[in-house]
Amino acid sequence: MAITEWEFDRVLDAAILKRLRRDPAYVHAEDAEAQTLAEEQIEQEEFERLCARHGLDPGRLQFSDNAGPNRA
Amino acid sequence: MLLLATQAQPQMRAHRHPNLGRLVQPRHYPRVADTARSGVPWAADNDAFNGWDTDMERRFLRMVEAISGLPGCLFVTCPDIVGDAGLTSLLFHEYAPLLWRHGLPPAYVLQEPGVEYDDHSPIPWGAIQALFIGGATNDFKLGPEVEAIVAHAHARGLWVHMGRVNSLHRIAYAASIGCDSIDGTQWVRYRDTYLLDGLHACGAGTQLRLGPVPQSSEQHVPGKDS
Repeated sequence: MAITEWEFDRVLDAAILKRLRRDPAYVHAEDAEAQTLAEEQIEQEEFERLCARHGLDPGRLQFSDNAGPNRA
Repeated sequence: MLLLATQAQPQMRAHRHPNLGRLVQPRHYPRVADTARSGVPWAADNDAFNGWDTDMERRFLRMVEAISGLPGCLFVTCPDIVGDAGLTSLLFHEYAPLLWRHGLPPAYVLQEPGVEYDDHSPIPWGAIQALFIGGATNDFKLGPEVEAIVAHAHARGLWVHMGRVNSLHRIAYAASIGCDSIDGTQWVRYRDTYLLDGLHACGAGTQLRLGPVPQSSEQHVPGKDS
């Protein structure tokens, strides 16, 4: 299903924030470094998940200026 | 022009570049002070892209406490509502005094509709140190009205940032109208693939003079197929 760039950014940001509020690796991280790594992992996973859901290759993502990311 | 990346600081250490800075967010609050002291140019966003509620406010205020008085802050975006200039103005007047008290430079987020660019407009020119070009549509963000607002902001000596700049063409456009910094999802996800292209485009700056962006144009694609 096609997704616009705007929707892509909004959905991704919401998914990341939701995980950051609940994910034990992030919420209960031992220190700031561990929390950073957990956050990085969450961001990457959610990005890849959203790309997969919309048939996008995360390594060949395209944005046009007035539409969503195109299929690679 | 700077590209402000929202990625976590330790990972960004591997990407030193004169056009790379950081855009810290409330979600990073335990680490924002380290970022601010790291020597890279930095600003702070409000995490309000998906709405504003009491939990977001709590996180925003916690971030403000963490960065209070730290040197080198380019701007802190006051809370805003995407696509609603009126509510954004109300939120600005609620939070900007707090930022001033903490020694932080407030940025007003420009949202459509109804913006003007003279001193009688909703833009609180006298109370800001930066202008953040937000907006829900590229027609607004890349239109002549915003271009005039940016020119006015520069005449007042304000820092101008454009949010969600996700193509090389839009980077060039932002530079051509005088933006000082941009951010965009495109450059920080899979950054080994995309970030360097974005930084190079930011470094090219105003050498790339472009006209208005065609509505249906396909742009240069960062990565392998460009």
